[in-house]
Amino acid sequence: MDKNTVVLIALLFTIQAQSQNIVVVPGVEQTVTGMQYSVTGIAFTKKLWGAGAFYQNSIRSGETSSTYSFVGMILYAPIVNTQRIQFFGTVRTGVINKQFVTIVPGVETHIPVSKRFGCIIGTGYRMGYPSLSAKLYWKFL
Amino acid sequence: MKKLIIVAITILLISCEEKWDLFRTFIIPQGKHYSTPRIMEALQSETLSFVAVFDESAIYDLHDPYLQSNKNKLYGFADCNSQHQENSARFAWQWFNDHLEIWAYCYVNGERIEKFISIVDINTENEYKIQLTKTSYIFTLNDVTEIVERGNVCNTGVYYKLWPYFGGSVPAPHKVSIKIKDLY
Repeated sequence: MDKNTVVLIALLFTIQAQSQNIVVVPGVEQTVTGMQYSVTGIAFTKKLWGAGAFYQNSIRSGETSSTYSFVGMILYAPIVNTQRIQFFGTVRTGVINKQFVTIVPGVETHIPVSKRFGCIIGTGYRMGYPSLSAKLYWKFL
Repeated sequence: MKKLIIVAITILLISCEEKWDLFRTFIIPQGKHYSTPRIMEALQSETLSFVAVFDESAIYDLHDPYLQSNKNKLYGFADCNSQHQENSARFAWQWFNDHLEIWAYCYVNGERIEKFISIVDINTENEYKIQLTKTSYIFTLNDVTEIVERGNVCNTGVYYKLWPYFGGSVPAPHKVSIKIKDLY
């Protein structure tokens, strides 16, 4: 196990120890290169600040791109928090195809459907153009 | 209401849009080097592929053959965690001998390398491509290819994009307009 993996796991354990909720989020994102699927694990604090890790890949590739794995960390900053709806600012930072480091800002709207489930609509700035995402979340802790 | 939102989003996401078709127009004001808009973006693929269109504003006369041969930068990227004057690859252009010439313009370990590629017409769409391999930059303009060897750089890092820039040492003698459309 390399040093970076150890640091990442230690960080995730620290975040989990401080967190109020652990949330798993599968979803899809429509970008200028095509549709991508993603899986994210996030730990939220009581005040809804969050940090997590994600994995994303293309469902179908564009004309010039081949495989497109995007792995990294995501940070959440709460903007508005009500019982029915929550707005967050997000920053994703990670590596594409194990080569290209990139930072993706965005915003998300979380809509609770039940105590543990809900849906997320998001938008981001990917490759110079806006992207649109739709996800589901499950609070399992 | 929530179900309606979910259905609407689902329809939006699965609607067929195979390719986005968006030109961006870069303007270099008279007397300036840098173009607007100024965009912060990093390369996210081994291939930078785009279409560019020059108009009549690409025609200029600096009244000095040496200055006339200065290369203006079109589009490219800095190599892994490098400053662009250390390691980078760009297409460059100049109006020379009544032609619009396109060049490969690279910095490799701080040394500048320029290679002529082809001539293009104004008001015409041409397809440009820079492929990044482990050892080289492969420039392709329509069907013409030139290869420049890469320097000693890392593999994983930030490859920031480089946008249109006039010069050389002389700023734009008049407003210059270039349209660029990324291909994905």
